Amino acid sequence: MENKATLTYSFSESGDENLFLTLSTRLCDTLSNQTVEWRQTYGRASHQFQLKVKILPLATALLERTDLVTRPYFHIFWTDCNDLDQYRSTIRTEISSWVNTLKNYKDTEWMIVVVAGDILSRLTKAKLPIPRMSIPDKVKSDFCSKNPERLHILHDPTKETTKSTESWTALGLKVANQTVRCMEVVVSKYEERVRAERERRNEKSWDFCSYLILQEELAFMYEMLGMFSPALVQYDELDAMFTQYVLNANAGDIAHWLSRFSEPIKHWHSMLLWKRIDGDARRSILEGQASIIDIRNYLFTRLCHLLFETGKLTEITQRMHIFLHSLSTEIAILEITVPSGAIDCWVFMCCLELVGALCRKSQLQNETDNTATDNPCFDMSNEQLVLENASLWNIARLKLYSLGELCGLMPGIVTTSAHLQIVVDLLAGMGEGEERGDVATSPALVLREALSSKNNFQKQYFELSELAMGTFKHMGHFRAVRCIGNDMAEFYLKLGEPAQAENYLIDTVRMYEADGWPLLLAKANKMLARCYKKMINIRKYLRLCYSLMCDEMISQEERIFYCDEFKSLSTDLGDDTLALNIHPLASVTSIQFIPAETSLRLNSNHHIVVTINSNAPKPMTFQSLQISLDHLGPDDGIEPHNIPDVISLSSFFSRTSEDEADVKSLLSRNFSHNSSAYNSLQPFRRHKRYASTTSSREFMSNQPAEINDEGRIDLIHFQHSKPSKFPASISLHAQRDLQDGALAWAGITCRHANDLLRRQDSSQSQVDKHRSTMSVTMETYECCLTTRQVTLNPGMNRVKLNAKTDLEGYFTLQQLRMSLHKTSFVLPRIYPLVSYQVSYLQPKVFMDHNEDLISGIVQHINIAVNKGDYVNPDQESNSTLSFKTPPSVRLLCVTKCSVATPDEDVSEIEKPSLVTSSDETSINLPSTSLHATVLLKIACLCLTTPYVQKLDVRKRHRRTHSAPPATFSRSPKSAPRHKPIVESPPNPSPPSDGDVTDSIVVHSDVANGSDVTNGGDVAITTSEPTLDVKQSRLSDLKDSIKKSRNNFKNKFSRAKSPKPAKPRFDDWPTVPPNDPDVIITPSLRINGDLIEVTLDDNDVTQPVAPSPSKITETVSMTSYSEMTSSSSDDEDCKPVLIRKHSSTLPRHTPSKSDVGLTIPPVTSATSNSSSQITYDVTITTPWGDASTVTSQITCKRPVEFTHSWSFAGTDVVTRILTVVVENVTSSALTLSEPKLSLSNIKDITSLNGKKFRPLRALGSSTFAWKVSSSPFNSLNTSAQFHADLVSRCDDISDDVTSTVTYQFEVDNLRPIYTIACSVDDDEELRNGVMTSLRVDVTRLRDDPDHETTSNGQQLLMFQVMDTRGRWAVFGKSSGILSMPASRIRESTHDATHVATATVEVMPLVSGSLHMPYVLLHRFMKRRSSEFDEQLSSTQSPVLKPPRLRDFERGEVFYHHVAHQVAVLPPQSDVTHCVTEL
Amino acid sequence: MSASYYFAIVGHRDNPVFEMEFNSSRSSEAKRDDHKHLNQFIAHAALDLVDEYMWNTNNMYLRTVDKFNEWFTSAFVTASNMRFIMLHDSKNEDGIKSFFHDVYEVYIKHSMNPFYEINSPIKSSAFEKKVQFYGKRHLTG
Repeated sequence: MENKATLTYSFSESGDENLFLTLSTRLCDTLSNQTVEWRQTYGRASHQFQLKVKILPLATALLERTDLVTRPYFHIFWTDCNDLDQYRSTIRTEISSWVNTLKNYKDTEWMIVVVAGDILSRLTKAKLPIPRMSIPDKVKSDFCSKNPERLHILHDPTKETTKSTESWTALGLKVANQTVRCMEVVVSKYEERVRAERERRNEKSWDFCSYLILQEELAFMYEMLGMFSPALVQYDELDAMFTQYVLNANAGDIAHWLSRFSEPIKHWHSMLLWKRIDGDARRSILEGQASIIDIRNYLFTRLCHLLFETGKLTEITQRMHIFLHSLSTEIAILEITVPSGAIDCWVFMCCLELVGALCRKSQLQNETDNTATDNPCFDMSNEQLVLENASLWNIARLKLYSLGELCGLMPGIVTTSAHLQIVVDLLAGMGEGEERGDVATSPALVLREALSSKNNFQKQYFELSELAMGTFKHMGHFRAVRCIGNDMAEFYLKLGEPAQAENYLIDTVRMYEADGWPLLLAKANKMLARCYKKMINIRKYLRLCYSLMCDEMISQEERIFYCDEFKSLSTDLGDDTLALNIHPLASVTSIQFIPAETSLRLNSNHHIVVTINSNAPKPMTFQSLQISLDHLGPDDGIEPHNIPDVISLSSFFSRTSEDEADVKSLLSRNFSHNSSAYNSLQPFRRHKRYASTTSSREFMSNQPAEINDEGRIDLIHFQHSKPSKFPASISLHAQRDLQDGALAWAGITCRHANDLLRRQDSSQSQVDKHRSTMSVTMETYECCLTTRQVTLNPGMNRVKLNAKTDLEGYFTLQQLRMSLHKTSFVLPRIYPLVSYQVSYLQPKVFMDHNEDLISGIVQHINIAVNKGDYVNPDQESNSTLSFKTPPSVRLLCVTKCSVATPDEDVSEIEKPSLVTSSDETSINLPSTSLHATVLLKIACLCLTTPYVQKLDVRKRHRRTHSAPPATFSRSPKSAPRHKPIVESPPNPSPPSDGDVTDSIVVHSDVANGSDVTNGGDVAITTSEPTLDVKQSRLSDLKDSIKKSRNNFKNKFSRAKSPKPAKPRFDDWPTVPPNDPDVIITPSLRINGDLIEVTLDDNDVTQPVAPSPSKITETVSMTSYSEMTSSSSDDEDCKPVLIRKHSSTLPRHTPSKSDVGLTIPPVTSATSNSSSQITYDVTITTPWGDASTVTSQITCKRPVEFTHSWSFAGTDVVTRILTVVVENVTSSALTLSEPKLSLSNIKDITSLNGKKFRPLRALGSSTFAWKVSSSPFNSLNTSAQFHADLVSRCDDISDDVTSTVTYQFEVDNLRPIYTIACSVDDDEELRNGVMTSLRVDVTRLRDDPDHETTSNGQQLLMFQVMDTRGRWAVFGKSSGILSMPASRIRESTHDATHVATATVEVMPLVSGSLHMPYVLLHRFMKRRSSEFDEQLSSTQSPVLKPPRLRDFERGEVFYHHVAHQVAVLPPQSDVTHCVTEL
Repeated sequence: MSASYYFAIVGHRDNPVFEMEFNSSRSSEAKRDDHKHLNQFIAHAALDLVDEYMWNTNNMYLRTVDKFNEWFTSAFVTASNMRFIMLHDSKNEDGIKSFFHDVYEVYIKHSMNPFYEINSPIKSSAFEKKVQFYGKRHLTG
């Protein structure tokens, strides 16, 4: 039913109707080919179109039509009359009435067409050659005089002649033009009318509906004319007007006609696009019964139709959205009561209607293109249209969904009667789905079916969803797909098929995740969680709960809900475990070492504090928090710092591939400067080969991070959530020229440029982004730090872990995990590398003491015990320290015990007690913290060992030395030599000691002889006649001796010069006698420092001694200065005659010490090393392998001893034994209970006073005893002195005493000889008066050391001398005394023999004078020696000097030692007296 | 009828950079949370269409690109390919257009801040104030 402009025709009644019908048809055809121009008013563009007309016979009804479409615009009167008469009679009248009829109706044009046939013209010409008025002329003159255009002569219309065609064309042109002109006028007038009507719109009587009809006429008109745009404009205007009214109504200006629409809507028919004009709707509009839906429907239908005509399909769909939207809005604005769901129904139907129409259109197109396929949608050439289609489906889907919800058709909802009522109501409002010919299903039918049952609803819903999704997917609109998918998933969830929903939801989640819309992501996650919960997929559900409870986009209540869910379900994993990334829950911000150092000791107490920022909604308690460690033992050999970067990186990243990109990108940013630096350093080596230049080096550091002052390392967190579009790494390269080093080129390389530069649009599938976020690779946790029951509160938490220090090596913190039942939250990688080193320190025990550890007194030793890093695997308490000491070392008690912690904090603790068992002492060490050092101060007592002085040392020398033996206590022979007592008491003194002793002996002996320098021959008067004989010969020998003396001197001095040390007397006797046959006369000469005695042994037939028969012995009398034992050898090069009071006399001469009056000088103790004793102390520690430590205690002797053995007064029997104790330490000592015991003498009287005897530092103290020895006692006895050394210790109540013992021997209990001097005339002794000195030498016992001459005599040489210049000796001061050898050996006490000599002396001063000294020497035949050889070689008179030997101290007793003689002054009146002291 | 607007700036990675809602005074605050979710949902779903439309025109202002129920989605694409998305439930093309242009200017100024990283969420009170001001002027005012 197509509108065409209407023309009418009329014809003369006489004419052939069929012919005119044919002609009319022909005219239509002609007109349709004719292009005419539509001139528009108001300067609008003209419109070219082909006029399509329909020619109807003229009827009054037609003429009376006033609308634009159906009214006739042009009238044609056909006549084929060619007879004037006929014209005049009938046709003229007919035309006249026709014209009149038309004139009653304005705005019409008419035309009279006279059909002129050939026959007619020919006949006319033949009959009437004279031109006469023809029919057209008549008509023209009658009717068209003013307007000749209204007459047209059609020539031969049925014939195909040129003339005919021309006349047809001319006719067409005329008709068309005139029709259009007419139409223009009419339309113009109509427009005016519409405008006028519109101006009236504010009047009360104005009604939109009638106006709509009015204006629509224009649209129809334009549509009829093919002018769709103007037609559309009409509808647009109407539409806009309506909208405006509604908006005005919204603003309060409600048009009166609008109130009609506010009535409840009872019908919600769909728009009907299959009809060009919805007549019913138009009718209802005309009747004023249309609802707003009807009006809108109608308008949009018309719009659609016009747009379809123009082919603007996309515009339809775009308008459709607005249409649907605006209607909903308008209904809302106008507050029209609509049953719920009605609008949804309407929208659904409209969408389907439009989609159907579009499909039909495209099908029509396809049919013409012969490219029909099954699915029309996808064949639409216009993608935009497809898209719109899909979106329409989508809208329909949404509406259907909401309808389903409304009507209880959703799965899981029980359909109630109320639901059914709604369905019935809705269906009633939709109206019947009309039959519509070619269209299979109307939207109303579809909806009706969908709402009929649940199954149908589902089916319909899925169908729509799939359609929409498929289309969107095809178009690449994945977001839309996901949205639909999301709804589908929801539907499936309601349907109880969560498995179906899962994929949709995962897609959605991933999309939001990738795009970073946190709120949407949270919603999607919630749904997915619901899905998994329904699927009873606990693992996945837990994951989602996990991420949801950390999601800040959802409410706190929900987060707590998911948190609780997680907690309750985390136990339900069965045997499975779930590892989750710690990231959303918490972030580990820093790791701190307490104390702040990474070099730890084994078993030390170190902590690692992890700072965790928890995002959990509420406090969570984890069963454990662990940090896995990478352990490099000390034996693994790899220094962690030396691991090449590349290796460590590959291993680093192989474990956590998902981190790689992030790490690299991060590092490449951080270290880019390094890379450039590196390349700039390396260019010369690298540029030779291009390949090596381009081999990129990754610049990542695996160097452990440095801790700051607080020991903290801030961790770097790798974000997973956002895929990085930055390159993983960019390498910088540079190349330099070989010659000048100039930069040749530089560039950057990005390895994965293709991946990075790939288009990343919304359609890119987010491959496994989701999974990688959550899944983590777990370390083995074989070596880890663990703490239990960690509660993390929301916000910052500090978790303290004990650093693992029970293994030596290098630990790198790798991963952190927190365990909650079967789930663990893992920080996959701790970066930067955090590591610490654990080193093992062996347990150590140190023992030391002060420098001067003195035995015998209580002193302290310090013991430092450090357990090091040792941990007793069994029990901590067993820490007993055992000391195994020699018996002489006693550990008394612990006086102080303190603990020093590694950080120099010393605190004193309770003293542990010492437990002493048989052979060892043990201490229970206090249990201390690790690495603390226990400092013990132990009082210890080292017992002294006895000091033993042996006599045999002296005896050995006695035989070999010719020097006079001395009884002086300071003589080394009699003075106790402190020999080192090393450990075992019976330690023989080494021979070297003897050598040392020798040298001392020599010095002393020579010194003693220094006084014998009086010179001059002494006439010795002896009681023996033989001596006298020998004495007489002495003078003869003088000269020869003098000669030999010079030689000897030379020799001696020569011998000394290369060997400036002391002359070794040992050497001399060892020289074998060279010439034993020399006969000498006994003679003695003392000259200077030589005593030369020659013994003529010719008379001796029987040698008594086993010594060689002829012995000449020379004793050097040279005085040397007295040397201390440590005297340097340089000082005694030259013999110096220095007198000292203590050394002026031979050893056996009496001295004050002999009567106990003075203390004999003590030789300073030789504090050589041997005075120290070292004890081994073995300490057994309870720890590990190195359990035994041997340490040494070195003790010094506290005191040194010397003793002296002196005569007391005039009694031979009573003697004084003094023991001098010298404190060699620098501390004061106290001695008590001095005791002396002699082996076979009981008569000992102590002369010591107080019980305690203090000894100041370096001082000495003397103890003396009076010993009375009976003559029957043996000559030797062993003596032992002991005293208690008292020492005090603060911690011991009692004094600790230790005994110091001095063992020595005393000999010569009885002297051999006693000397008694007496002066003749002692009553009248005057100064300057010569007197005789009688010397009585009494032998008390046998002298076994003296040789016996062949005559059975023992010769003694005496010498009277005065060193003080008080006495002058006249004549011989010395002489030989002969004593008969003891006959009866067994009765030594009977061997008393007295020899007397007299010497002339004269006192030189007056007063009480002591007697001159009488020295007694053994006079012995000399043995052959080197000296003898010299003598023999010089061919000097054979005079072998005798040997003299001193007596030992104690062997000679002087009766007169204390006697004084009163010497009167020279005047005779002075009396003299003898004073006894 | 209350006009409500939801404005979002979407970054290069489809991530939201800035969000703001404009409501005329009469709008109720009820169900705000769900509302926000819905806004985001629609805005996000419209990104596909924005991407599609922006290649079809030289204009920055893409007019309405999508409708969702009663919601229209208008979009504006900046020269740097940032997408301004406006959700609105009533037609206000001119207002939205001028709003977009004004916000664009503010955005350019903000992006020139050397401390602002492109594509990162805008957290500037000055920016917010400006946008609020333009919203009042062009949309709800």
